[in-house]
Amino acid sequence: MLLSRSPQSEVGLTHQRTAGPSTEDLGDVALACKGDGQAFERLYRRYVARIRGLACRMAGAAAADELTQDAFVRAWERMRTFRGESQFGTWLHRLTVNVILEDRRGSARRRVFQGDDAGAVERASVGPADAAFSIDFEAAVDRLPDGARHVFVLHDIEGYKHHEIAAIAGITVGTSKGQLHRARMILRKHLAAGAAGCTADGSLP
Amino acid sequence: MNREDTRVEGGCREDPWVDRLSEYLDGDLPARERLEIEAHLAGCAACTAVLRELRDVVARADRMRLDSPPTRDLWPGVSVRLRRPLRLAPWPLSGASPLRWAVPRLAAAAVLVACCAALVWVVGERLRPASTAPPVASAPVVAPAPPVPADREYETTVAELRRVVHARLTLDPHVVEVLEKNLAALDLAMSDYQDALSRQPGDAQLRSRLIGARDRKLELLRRAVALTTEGGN
Repeated sequence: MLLSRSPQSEVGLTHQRTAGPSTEDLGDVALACKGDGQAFERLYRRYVARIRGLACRMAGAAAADELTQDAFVRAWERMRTFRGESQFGTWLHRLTVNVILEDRRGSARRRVFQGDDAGAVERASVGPADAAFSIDFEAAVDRLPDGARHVFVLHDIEGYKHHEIAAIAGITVGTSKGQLHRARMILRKHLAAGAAGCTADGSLP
Repeated sequence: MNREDTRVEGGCREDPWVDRLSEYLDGDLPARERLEIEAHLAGCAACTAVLRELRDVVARADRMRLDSPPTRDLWPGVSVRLRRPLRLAPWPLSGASPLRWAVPRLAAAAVLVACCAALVWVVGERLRPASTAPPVASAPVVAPAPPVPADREYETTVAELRRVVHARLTLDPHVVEVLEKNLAALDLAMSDYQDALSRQPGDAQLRSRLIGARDRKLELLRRAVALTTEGGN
């Protein structure tokens, strides 16, 4: 898994991957496993921005806070299953992905979100009436259909491989590749529209 | 659709290579197919343009920031959902104990809590997906929290749990009604205990029962939160 991308992003998980095992983490994990809430809070403080970033990308800003809290509660509950075979940050990241995907599967009863349907593709696709939206790449990512967004975020932003995404999301490698291509094909239209030039008020020239 | 429209939409649409451009970009194609697509790209301006745009998308994704710090402190919402024993602050002195009022009320509340807990459990089981996750390791037991103003901690905890429950509330209305009735009954009993303790602060039995009532209230709220979180609700 490639979580490290660039020197600017060497924080949180990325820092973990590039700097080797964190003795800070190891100590706090050991204490948290014994029920030390303060040690767990230190872990929370260290990773909350990174975990919330993941939640924002995968589920949208509106649900990010809730999912971030869910992820840390789940981490606490499963702390004893962390065996130290990977970085704590990597373990937490993967656990968070699971929490988010579980939530999205069940969230139709709780939240309105864009389903993986043709209508969603149309909404995410750029059109003349939606030019202002087209220049906002992050908003465009948010508006991708769920399946395509999850794979795009995990692969192109978070650095997971297709076989890892397939294992986490319970899909085939072929589906993962297909969803990624689908997401990119939608997003390229946003970039193309932006490159074509939009006026300050977002309208096409 | 004319040729230009086809190009704008997705390269040579009739060309099966368009759907392989992402795999090509990621280096996921076998050597033979990679050579074939490169040969195709050499003679197809439309597919080359799509490939360039896909590269731009990947580059933009790589520049997206990973961190997104919350705008409010999320820790209180996490900590209240971890099991942590609460401490009670010292109670004011003087007065006689109206224990005779509090006990029946708490007994009634306890019965209601038991019913509600059973109902919440039943609903939770019904809502739980068929493919349940592997068994979750039991939550570690938290060491006693450092001394803090107990009433404030308790009220904060309850408020946060209530906020979480209501933010996600799509529980069965009947469950919600029973939940609220239980909470009200427990509040009433606790109010009586507090009155009694204000007059008889040294009464260990009163104090113990108040702590028990508080714990039951927290447990009830935690169960409701767990139901909304884990039951896919």
